[in-house]
Amino acid sequence: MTCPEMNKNVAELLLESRPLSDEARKHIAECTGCAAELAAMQSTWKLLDEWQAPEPSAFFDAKLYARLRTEQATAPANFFERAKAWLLYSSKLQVRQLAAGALATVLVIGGGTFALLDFQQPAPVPQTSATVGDLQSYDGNAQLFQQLNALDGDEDNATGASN
Amino acid sequence: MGTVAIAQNGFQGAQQSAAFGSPGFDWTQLSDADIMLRVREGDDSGFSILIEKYRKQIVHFMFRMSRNQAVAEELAQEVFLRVYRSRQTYRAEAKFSTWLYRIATNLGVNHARDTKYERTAQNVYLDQPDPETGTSPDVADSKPSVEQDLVRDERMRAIRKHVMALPERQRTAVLMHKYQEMDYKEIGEVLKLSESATKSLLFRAYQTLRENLKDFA
Repeated sequence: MTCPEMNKNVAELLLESRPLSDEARKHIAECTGCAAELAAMQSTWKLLDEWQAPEPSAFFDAKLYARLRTEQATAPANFFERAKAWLLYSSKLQVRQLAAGALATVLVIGGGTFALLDFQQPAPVPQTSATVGDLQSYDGNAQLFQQLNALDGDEDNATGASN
Repeated sequence: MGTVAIAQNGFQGAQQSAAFGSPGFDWTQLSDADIMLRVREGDDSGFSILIEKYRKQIVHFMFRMSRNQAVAEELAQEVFLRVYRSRQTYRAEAKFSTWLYRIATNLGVNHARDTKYERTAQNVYLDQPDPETGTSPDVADSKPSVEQDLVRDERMRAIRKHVMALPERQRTAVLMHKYQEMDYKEIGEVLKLSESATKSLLFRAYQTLRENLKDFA
């Protein structure tokens, strides 16, 4: 038997009150480390026995039954109280797991909705700087002048031909 | 009707309620779950039997959670009140004691969280007994066993301190395993953990305690 296997045996002895196997006893006789571990665990276990709790006081029952009678006179638990009680005490679900699941759902739904809305919006027109705007305008004007000149030329040719 | 049953019984205690609640009915033949199911259906007379059976255990459990007898009794009463108030949500597939300890654990842990900072700044009054131990503070005494008392008190303080210093789940598991004598399967059900997770949780807790209490063991 190895020391980690012995550790498992100590756990079983402690948690399940299962007696040590012959193999474990043999290992303990040979291994001082495991023997010390077992002895320390057993004395800690014994030490913990010293923590005694006092008996309920003489007024405990009287107070409890008085509170129960008051409770009996109050309205029965509503739906939300019952749902909370079921979640906390009756279901096997962990509140933390539920909260994590709810948060993940909110993130997925929220993220998906945002992505969808973002996708449906038209792409924004890129903003150009003032200089580029002026140059583009100048370029546009130049083309206009060329077109006007071309029109003027056409008109001159037409008048020349008519004369 | 449940209301009438309680009012008539006045929650007199297990024996009396069994006699008054349902004449000729032998409550001792029923399991805790069956009694609780009858309470759920409106027959409140069986509730006293459950109180009688579990009151001491729950007061002890709450005492170790809160380290104060008055608070422990208050919390234990609150546990039974919540059990009564939540009776409609009780399902027979869970053991009654598991359900009861879930409620007790929930309350105890919440109380420990709420009073975390109050407990670290407790005052010591020389003329009053310690609410946790019931003993007077260590002052000069003519008894020959004064040194033994001091050592014992010191040991007790160390046990309480190191058990309470364990992480929340480990602490609850140790209290249930060591002092309530519950097996790790039931502890796992109370804490909503698997058996292997509970075993490992408990063993880690005992290893921590062994390490921290080695000077006292």
